[in-house]
Amino acid sequence: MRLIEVLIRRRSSLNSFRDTHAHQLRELRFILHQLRRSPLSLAGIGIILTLVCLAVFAPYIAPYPGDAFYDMHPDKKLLAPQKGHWLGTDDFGRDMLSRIVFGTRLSLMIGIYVTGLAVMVGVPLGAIAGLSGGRLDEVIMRVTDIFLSFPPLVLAMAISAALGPNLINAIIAISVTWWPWYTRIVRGQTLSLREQPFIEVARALAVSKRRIVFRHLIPNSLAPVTVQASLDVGYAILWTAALSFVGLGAKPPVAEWGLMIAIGRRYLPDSWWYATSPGLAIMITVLGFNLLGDGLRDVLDPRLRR
Amino acid sequence: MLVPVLLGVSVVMFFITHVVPSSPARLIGGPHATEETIRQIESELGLDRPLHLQYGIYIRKVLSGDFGISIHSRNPVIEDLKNYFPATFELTSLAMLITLIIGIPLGVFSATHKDRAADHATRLFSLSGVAMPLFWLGLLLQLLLSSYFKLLPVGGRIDPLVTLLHPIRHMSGLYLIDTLITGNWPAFKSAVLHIILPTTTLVYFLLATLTRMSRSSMLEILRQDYIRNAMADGLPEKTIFYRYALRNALIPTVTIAGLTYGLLLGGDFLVEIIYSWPGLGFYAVGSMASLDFPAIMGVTMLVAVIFVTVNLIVDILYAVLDPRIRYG
Repeated sequence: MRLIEVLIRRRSSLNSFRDTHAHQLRELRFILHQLRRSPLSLAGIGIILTLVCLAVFAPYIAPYPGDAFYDMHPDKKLLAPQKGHWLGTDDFGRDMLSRIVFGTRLSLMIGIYVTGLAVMVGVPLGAIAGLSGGRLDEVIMRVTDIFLSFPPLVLAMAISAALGPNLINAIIAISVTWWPWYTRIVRGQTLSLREQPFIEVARALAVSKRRIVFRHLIPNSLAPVTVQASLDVGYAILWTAALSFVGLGAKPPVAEWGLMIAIGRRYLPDSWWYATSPGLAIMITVLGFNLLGDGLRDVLDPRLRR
Repeated sequence: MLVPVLLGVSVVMFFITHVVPSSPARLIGGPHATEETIRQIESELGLDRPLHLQYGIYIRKVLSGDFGISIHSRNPVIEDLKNYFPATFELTSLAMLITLIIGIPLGVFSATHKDRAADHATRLFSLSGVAMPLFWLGLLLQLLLSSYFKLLPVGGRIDPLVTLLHPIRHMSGLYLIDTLITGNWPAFKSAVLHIILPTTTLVYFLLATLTRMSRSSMLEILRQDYIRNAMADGLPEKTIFYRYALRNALIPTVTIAGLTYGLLLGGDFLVEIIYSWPGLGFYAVGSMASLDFPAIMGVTMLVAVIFVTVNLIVDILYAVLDPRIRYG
């Protein structure tokens, strides 16, 4: 009897979730439906899912998991692609395929960290600036102006160099240059939302500013943020690779794609496979996030909806 | 806009470069320097004074055109900047020019042939260009055209042997123009051969962004009523596309082109490093790697000035393109 009761209660709580979130669920179903109709977005989702699988199951997929870390095989130095080493080996005799598979794990983490940090800082600031207006708005927007009026890659490199070049600092440096974009987007959204009746009602009911920002303004301005974030995960990976390439990011022996290209470059033109395969991995990854972002934009941007 | 931005940038950069754990004095002194030597170097550089005083001194010097002495090259930073900037300017301007000439018509073509094979090909091309790591593309081109087919030089700006035999008279600092004016043909040929690969790499990347932008803004314009009206009136397609639609579609395209141009003038780091192109980016990365703080500050200030100036020019261009926009 008790079990049935629990089941019923759970069922009804599920139902109530469905009822209260009916609108959001309908919206989600609509987005999925639209995405399914665009082959390019599907390709993007396919690429990203494959990469996630590679990242999660890296130890099982990589033929030589140890090669992504400290293993060395001096006898197998710089072997061309062949059976057993499908993408060849590097200057320490490590299997390139294994290192690239583990690099996927690292790259996805980098992409998510950078974008996550930028969103966490940029979004609340944008909502606060848009809602409060006046002095605070002015100050926040002038600070973003300074950041935006400056080539971001130069800034990221300078910060990374100054903090001491390593992967963590590269991630911090790139995030520092990216949050203003989110502040801009969310502020613009907030300015138009602010005039909407439901915000006015919330204010009239003396709902706290904090609650308005986090429960009403931010959730309602998430669509453009989602589009930007899905594109940015790809670009974050690209930028970190670029920083690592010029020596301002990951340090050996980390299996980071940009770093692998930088080291592989020394063995060009003879060991061509060393620098080429990580580059291809970067390109496919960024392409995947780009396709997804473009697809999401087409779905979420009401101006393009038909 | 220029003054507050420069002040802001200088504060941010000064803060970053001076509150870091790595000390420039220790770097100059070398690994075996005693505490005493380091303290002496610090007091020579003024690093032992309070931070806001250091900043005040720096700004006063900058205003009189003194960016300090580069720790790495031991030259005044301003001299270094004068030497390195023309190379970047030459490369970026050439690449931008080619991109505009190819990219805008390509975007228009893609938009007017929407959802046909040519459009898909163009879109795929521009997507691949956005996703491809610039430094990797450079390496591939180098591998293929310099190492494998031996058609073009691997890097550098000009063959040093050629400049030895046919010295270049430095006027503008732009090798292509200097050699052309003075009729120094061997040097001109060498300069052209050296600039092909870096330009191609940059153009590929720029084309991707620009074609995408001009395609989407063109598509948006083509949906407007006045275009449909012009179509219904039976005006020739060419007139509609190029005289009515393109002019309006150009505004967002010019914005992106201007922004990117400003960004790249600040140093197309990756391309310059791969091709050992002695430009601003090359200089900046060198100074960052050796924690050469006066040089880093100088480069970033110059980059900020360029960026803001280019943005200003873009704003003025708006008014030229769209007479409805008026300033002042």
